[in-house]
Amino acid sequence: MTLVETRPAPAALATLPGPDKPVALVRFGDALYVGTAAPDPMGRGRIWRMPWPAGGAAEIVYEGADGSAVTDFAVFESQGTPVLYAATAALGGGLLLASRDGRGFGPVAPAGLGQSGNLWLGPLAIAGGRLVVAAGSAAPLDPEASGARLLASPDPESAVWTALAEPGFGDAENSAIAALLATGAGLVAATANPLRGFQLWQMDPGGGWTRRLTDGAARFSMNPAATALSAGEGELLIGTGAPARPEAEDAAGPAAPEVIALDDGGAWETLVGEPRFSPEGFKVPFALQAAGFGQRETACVTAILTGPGGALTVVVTAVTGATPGPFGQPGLGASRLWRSLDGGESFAEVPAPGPVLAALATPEGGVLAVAGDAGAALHLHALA
Amino acid sequence: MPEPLFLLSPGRSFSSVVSTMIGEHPQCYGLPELKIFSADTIGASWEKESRPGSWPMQGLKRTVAELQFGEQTDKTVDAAEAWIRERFDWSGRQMMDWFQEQVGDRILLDKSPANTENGANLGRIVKAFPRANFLLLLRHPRPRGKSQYSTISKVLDKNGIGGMGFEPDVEWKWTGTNIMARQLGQDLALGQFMHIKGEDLLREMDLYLPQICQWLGIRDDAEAIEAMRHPERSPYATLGPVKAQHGNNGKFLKGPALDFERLATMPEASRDGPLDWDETAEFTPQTRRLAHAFGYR
Repeated sequence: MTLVETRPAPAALATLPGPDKPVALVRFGDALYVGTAAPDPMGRGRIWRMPWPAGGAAEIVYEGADGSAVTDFAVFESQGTPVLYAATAALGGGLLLASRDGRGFGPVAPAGLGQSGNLWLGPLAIAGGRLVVAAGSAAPLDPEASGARLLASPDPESAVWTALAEPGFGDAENSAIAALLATGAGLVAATANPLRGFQLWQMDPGGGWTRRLTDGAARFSMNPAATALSAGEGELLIGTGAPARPEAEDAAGPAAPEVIALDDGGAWETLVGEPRFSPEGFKVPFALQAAGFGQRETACVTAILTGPGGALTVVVTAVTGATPGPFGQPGLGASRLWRSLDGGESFAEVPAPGPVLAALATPEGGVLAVAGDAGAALHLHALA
Repeated sequence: MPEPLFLLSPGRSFSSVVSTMIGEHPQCYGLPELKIFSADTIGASWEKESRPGSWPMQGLKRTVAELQFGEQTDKTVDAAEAWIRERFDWSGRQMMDWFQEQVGDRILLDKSPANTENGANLGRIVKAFPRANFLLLLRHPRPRGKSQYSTISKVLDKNGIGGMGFEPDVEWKWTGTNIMARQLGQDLALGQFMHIKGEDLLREMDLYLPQICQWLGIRDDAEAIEAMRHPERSPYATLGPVKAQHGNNGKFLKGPALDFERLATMPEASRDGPLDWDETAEFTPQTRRLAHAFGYR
């Protein structure tokens, strides 16, 4: 097993002073951008910019109104120029921000993309020449979330948005779109469905949708949401997650997360998870690791980072408190990093620098955005 | 020798039919309700499980009659009782070991609802068989509760104490038992504990019976599956002699053959709406959350 080093990046490059929690990462041009949420629901979401990979001081390039959070980023070529888009959640309606130079950000569409219930925008994806935005009433893991809309525009600045699918894909129990991923086979959308378990939908070239997984991959409400999607070698990797629930221990919980692999033919297996009988056969996790890698606390797979040669890193972060209001961040426990060098057949734990709320694969390695009482920090994690 | 399989359920959950089906696999041996883990010794369990007006430990007596004396008759049941009494100081483990010697390398399967009546009984099993497999058999809380309530009401009426204010908490029986079983599962090794909805299993036997075989590491070929589809072939799937007629659900014993057509179209109940046994109440949030986790609508 290769020794993996997780080390803090140079301080000047990697610290964000203050209590903001880093929840989104993107690389745009010669800089790295971090979207943050405040620890309290009436705080302000911010976008930080820092030179990357050269390094340098981080600066705030956007600050939202009270009661806002930045939720996700996407780089989309608009009118021949790459534009950095950021989605936010806000009490007056989530905003879609755009920046051509990475320094000035402004809204390019009415709040909530013109719909009053869209207080939360994000995640974002690029598919079929369009910017795709998920929209709903609250954070995807919030038990009160509703909406689960999916909107797209080939020209976001035109303010013309069309629905890519029925709200919740026609299922009222789908409370939110929790994750999006553009793959070679089409856009993939994962829902949160606290009652029945997450669903996974894939868009075909004609714009139709096929449900690839349902009922939380036969684990029902114990897999209430798919919180991380990643393209592996010939398969889609899905990480699940659950919100913190004070009552989680009393009956159904704890709902420790799983890592599931779905191949192009539609067959799925668990890499990490709970053995079970299912309509698709008897499922035993390939890695022989229990759900949550044995960590019972309610937790989410924050990210799955893939590297060359079947290497992958799964970030699992414990959620220890309920979400304070629609845009506050839940109480967070420690993260654990699990690394596989054989495509998920075996995992070894590697040191984690703290609660990892977002992660991004870059040519320099995996960037881990870590929350801390004294400020957020970015750490570099070897992917290969 | 293989580890035994314990089928856990709060009763009224298809446990007689499902345990007998699995027990008909050529590499398994399905036992009737033994109730031998209700106390530390067979004698103490016997005493605890004895009910006024009923022959005690009928499943245990039938098993000993069958395995020690080769048949289940009034005479062999009497002989079995004497045989058991001579071993009142045995533990449940010792009795299971003796059964194992009789059946060879087949997996013993016990489904006694008494096993999940409290944590002490379940703990006794885990202590005796720390590597045993456990299968939690589920049934929707509404029909299960309705069935149990109906049975208890009949017993109360029969004893002249119906309508006197005693209301069995049939919902908690489902919820509490399943919580206890899940907590056990969390303490066991990966794959040692599984759960299955009885409705799914009985509706789609060809899908789920092979999976149970794969889990247990036994044959899942057509011949083995076909054997499992015939619980009526078990020596314990019929009413026994007078002194040990039961040891399984009475309705099952009177008609153990499966009605595949009926099972395939078995409807699933709803969590919503007033309880069938108390129209002023609905399922508690706790029960509903647990039902969600098992995939019940």
